[in-house]
Amino acid sequence: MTYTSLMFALFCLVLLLVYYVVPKKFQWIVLLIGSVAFYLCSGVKYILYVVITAFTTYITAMLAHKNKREFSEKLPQLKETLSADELHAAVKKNERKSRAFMLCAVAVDLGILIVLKYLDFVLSNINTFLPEGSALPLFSFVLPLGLSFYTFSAVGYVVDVNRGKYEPERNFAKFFLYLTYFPQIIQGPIPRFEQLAPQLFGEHKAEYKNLRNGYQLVLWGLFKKMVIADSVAAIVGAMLKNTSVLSGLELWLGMFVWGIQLYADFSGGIDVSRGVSQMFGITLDINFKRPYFALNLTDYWNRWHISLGNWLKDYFFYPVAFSKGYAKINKYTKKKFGKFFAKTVPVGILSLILFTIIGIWHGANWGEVLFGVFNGVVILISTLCEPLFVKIRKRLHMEERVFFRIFRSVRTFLIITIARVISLPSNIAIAGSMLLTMFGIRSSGTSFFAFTGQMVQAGDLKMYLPALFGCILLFVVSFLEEKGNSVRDMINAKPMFVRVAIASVGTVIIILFGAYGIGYVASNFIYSNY
Amino acid sequence: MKEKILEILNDINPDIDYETETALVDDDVLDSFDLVSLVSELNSCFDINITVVDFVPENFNTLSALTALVERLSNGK
Repeated sequence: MTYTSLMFALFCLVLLLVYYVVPKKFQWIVLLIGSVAFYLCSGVKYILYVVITAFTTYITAMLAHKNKREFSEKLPQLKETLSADELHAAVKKNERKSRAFMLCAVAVDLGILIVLKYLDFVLSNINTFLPEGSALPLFSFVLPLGLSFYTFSAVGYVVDVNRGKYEPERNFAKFFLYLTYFPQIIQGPIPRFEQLAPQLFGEHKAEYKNLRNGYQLVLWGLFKKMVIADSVAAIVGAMLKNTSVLSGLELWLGMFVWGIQLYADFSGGIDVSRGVSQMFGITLDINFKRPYFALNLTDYWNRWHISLGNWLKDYFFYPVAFSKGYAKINKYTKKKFGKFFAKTVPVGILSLILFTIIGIWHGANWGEVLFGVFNGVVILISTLCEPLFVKIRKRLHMEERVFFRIFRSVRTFLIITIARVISLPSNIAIAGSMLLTMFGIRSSGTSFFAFTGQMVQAGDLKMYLPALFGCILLFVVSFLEEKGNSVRDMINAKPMFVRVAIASVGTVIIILFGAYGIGYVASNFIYSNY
Repeated sequence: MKEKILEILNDINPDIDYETETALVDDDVLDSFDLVSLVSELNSCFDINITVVDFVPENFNTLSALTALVERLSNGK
């Protein structure tokens, strides 16, 4: 049941009615039943994986917390009976025990993710080195719904409980709801327990403001997904089928369309998730901040899939960067190579590893790995060169100039487009060939500027006009918001009949001009099943 | 102590007015590379151990919060 299907709309409607009719203390149970039902629709047997993850995380978090609590209760007595060294040793021993519980959960949770998502990738790479006939069998696991999203939520939860950030949830059913909450299970955003749990388990009144704003956000999300992303999908499909014959210019245009499709699809899906959730009175984090206005690649990644970046920073980047091992490396590099080197290179390498993980997260193939490495290398180089760039910008007084800001945004978009060429095709050889054509090094048999028309003819021509209108509208809205305006507030400040007209027109546009035409089957989101 | 912390901060990014800035982390005034450098310098300069548990915006948003954190960790050694 995808978020764009009519079935999902009916599902939400029924659930909303029940949610606001039952006594408020039972509202979370309605959400739990809805979330389990939604999950079961993706296949009954797949719920087993999420149950294992939930149960392991729930138990180990409780044990880690219990271990710490019991120790802190004994601490006053230990302070009287033990020497300072003995007390220090006892504290460390207790910390190790709690950490062991946490690591057990992390191993099980990430273990399931790695086996289901990456085992075949590892085995198929091993097979390339084995003689013919002795290849290892592949498992072809079907990924359970929201695998990496609920896994990351679970890992973050158990780590935070061990850090003492909050107490563990004692009710397993409530914890299970936190992991499987249906508006976010398909493609995030990756939640934080301390923000989401109080909302999920709290009591909510049916408020007009939440219902109105939620519906507006759902409409906007569906507009992006169905009028823009799904309408231009055929162009990208045709590009991938004809990479060897398309001209350099066509490949650039095709990749730009892919950038639009990807953003409209993913951010549209997140808007639907956030809008549906808002109608239940529950606010989900934003996951996008107009990434194509980013001034550099670091800025881009601070605006694209924000919850993934923040999760990796909080549970990988900073824990490693603040570790004793990292401090030793930092001290050594400072002594050997100087302050600037120590300040930039170790953290740059750590960042490179982080981006490699982001690449691997996107998919189990070498294209995605290289996508991550490429991003990490560009950021590392730009960090090393930043002092020089700052000097140049200051000397030429370029910072405040509009054209320079536009130049930086366009440059960032081009860099991310090149990165996507690496990851989009099914194999790296095709990506390499595409890049050579795009940079005019390889010829596809036509001139660089030739227009074969193969991409445009692949789709339904009447779909392109609404998609073009959609892109212009998306740009205008993004531009206004980048300037600090809230388009939602602007709409809500209008008289009631204007707001109703906008909502009605939006609904009709999605039905008529979106991909809901005759024969339309609601397509999955690109980021689902991650 | 405050002057020394200010010196470290200015060394990382001299374009920020740390005396008045109230959201060094919340508003991304300092990026992740800056924050790693800051923690590394504070640890080595004051012989303390700032861990991820201490790494919350409330401890890093202002110069005075940073000073309080360093003082607390120095006294707790």
